[in-house]
Amino acid sequence: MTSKFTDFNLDVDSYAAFDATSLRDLIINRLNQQNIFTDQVFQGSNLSSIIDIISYSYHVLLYYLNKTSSESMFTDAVVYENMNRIVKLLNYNPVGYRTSTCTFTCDTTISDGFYTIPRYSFVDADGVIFSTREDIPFDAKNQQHIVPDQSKYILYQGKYHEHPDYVALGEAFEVMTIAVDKTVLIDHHSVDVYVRSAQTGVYTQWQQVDSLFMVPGTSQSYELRLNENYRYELKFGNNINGKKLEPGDVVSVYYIKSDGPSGIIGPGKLDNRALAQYTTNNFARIKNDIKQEQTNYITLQQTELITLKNSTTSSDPQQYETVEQIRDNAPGYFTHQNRLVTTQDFNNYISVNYNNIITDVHAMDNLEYNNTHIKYLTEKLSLQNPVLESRLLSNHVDFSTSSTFNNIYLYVVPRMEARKSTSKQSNFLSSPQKQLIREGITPVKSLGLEPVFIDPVYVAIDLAVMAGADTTQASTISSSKLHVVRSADVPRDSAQLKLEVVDILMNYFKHTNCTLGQTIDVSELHNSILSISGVERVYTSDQIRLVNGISLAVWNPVYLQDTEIYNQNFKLDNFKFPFLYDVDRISDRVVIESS
Amino acid sequence: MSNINLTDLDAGPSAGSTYRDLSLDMKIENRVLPRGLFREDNVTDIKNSEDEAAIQNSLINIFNTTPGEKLLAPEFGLDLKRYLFDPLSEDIAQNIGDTIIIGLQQWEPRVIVTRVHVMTDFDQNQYIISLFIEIPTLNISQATYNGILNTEGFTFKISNDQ
Repeated sequence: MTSKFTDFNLDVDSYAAFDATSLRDLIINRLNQQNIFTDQVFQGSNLSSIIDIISYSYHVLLYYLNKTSSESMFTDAVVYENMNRIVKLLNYNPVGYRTSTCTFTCDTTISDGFYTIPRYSFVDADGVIFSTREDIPFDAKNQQHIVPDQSKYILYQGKYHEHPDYVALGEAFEVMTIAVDKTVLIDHHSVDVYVRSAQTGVYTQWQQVDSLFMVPGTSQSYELRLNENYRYELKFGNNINGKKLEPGDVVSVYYIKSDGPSGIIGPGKLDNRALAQYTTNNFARIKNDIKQEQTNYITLQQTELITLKNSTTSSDPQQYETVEQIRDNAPGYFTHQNRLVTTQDFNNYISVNYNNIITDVHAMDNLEYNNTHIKYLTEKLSLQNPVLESRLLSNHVDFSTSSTFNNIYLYVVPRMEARKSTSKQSNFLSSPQKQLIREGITPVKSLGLEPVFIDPVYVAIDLAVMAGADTTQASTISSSKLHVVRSADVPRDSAQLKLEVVDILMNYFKHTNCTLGQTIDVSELHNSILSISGVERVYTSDQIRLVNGISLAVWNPVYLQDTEIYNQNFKLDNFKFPFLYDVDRISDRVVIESS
Repeated sequence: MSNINLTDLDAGPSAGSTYRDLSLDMKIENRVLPRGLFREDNVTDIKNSEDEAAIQNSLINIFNTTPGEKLLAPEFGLDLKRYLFDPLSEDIAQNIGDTIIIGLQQWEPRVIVTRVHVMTDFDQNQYIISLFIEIPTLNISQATYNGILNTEGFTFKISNDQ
């Protein structure tokens, strides 16, 4: 008799499916079956109040249980603090804010000789400051225009700041936190650490490493980690893995404080502005201690004789790595274990560490390079000597050794989009930016591999219909238009409708939304336009021929023999990057018609 | 072989009443149960509110709950406190009466409200509410409930005449 009250007939995991209302209904149902109480069905009864309280409490507890258990999982965590802690187990250091960067050249009237611009020197462009991150040696001859050391240096937006000195306790794996407000935008790659020995009183610069466990006990190294509170932690060694701080050692930290998006400058903004040196009492002492014998720092007076120029827009700054980005990047990091061996390792490492200057990267081994890009140049474009193709040649001269069999070809698309409406796409990573990446990957790449930067092939995409059976013959692009037939049932303003269609096209082909080797999803584009309220049908026409849906011409603006027409999904080669050909006039190419 | 299912033999401990609710004062009582084949005659259990007492529980809860307080039934309750922000008046007394009638129709289907008197007591700055109801299922033709609505809130004073 009593068994009927304990036999709940529930699955063992059904508790997880209850919410407050379903639990309330279950309790009421049970009470109805037992026939002891009757008033559970009346909202005003005491029993109903008790049931509500129990059900709601259970619901809240279950919510927290679910939340807690989800947040402890790498795949489900959504809170930055939790994700940051989880990936710490993988030794993955989330990337922090990355400031805007800019390439530059110098002019000087300094007398002939070898000089060095001291690190942290800066130029002030109407309140927007750009700083150098390292000592820049240069050779002044006949007061000429100088490009310091093969353009390997770039400027970083923001001014260096000095963190209050930290006196070490001398503990193993001592951790020091950079105690600045988390609203201060510290450039992730700009943190420099100098330690003044308590014994000798001399400053030395310590090197940042990805993991202390990969360096010997004598190495003056530290780990830098952006912690769950968006603050940087410096972790020093224990004399077994990395040198330990001794009691009384003084740690001086310098970092760039970025101005964020307001620090972006256009071409020519720095032109003819003089350099200035970063000076503090402490830094003067550090500079003196770490100075190499042969280094000839320019004086304050000489600094004013150096003027800078920038011919390109500075790059966009990048926000802290988000939870989703960490989820994407951390497994890749764990896989390559800070060793770049496979092409995927290169892709992951570069996209994580340099996404302030790049939007996409694709690494190819020699086989894929020959089977795709070289084949494209020789067979598709019929070039007699493909390595003389200007972009290949330029990159090989700068970055390749004489041997090519061990090359890793890195196709990198810069984040910055530098082109005019119909100009042939020439949006390539600058030489200093390539050099920066190269220097970054050199210490961790496999010894036998030789990274070579190859500029991607930009392919233009525009509306066009096929002329006859040959898919390579595009009708005149300017006469091809996308016709959007408006439904008679839904009253929509034509101008607004057109705006929405153009917006879909432009957003799809936005520079930062495109990837190397992208699959151009014509069906998705078509469906997106059809899903706009009031759109009945879409077709592409050049006034003679008509193609239902969207028909696109894809061509290499430099070699027009590479032209194709597609009205269904297609995938670009991995070395190709798409761009919408005539962005400024795309709205003229969309026609709204009545049904 | 056929089974005989004697469902009445294991009827609950309060099988004699129509409505049964918990009494929230959580007192223990000894109850004499209707006699049955497998039943004990006396049990000690938490006190119940039965029949009219159960309905009284419900009326008290309806009058003293402000909509939004009952989490799983956010519309439950009479919002009588909102009338306390205005000076006493006959118009508001009329509104209070209407609110009570509509609210009880919605939340207490067991009763039929026959009359509601809302009197203004200007001296004490309060409304005196008399509620006249029928409870057909219990054969109660008239029950009267009195209460006071003032700045302290609503206070029920139960005295019923059958």
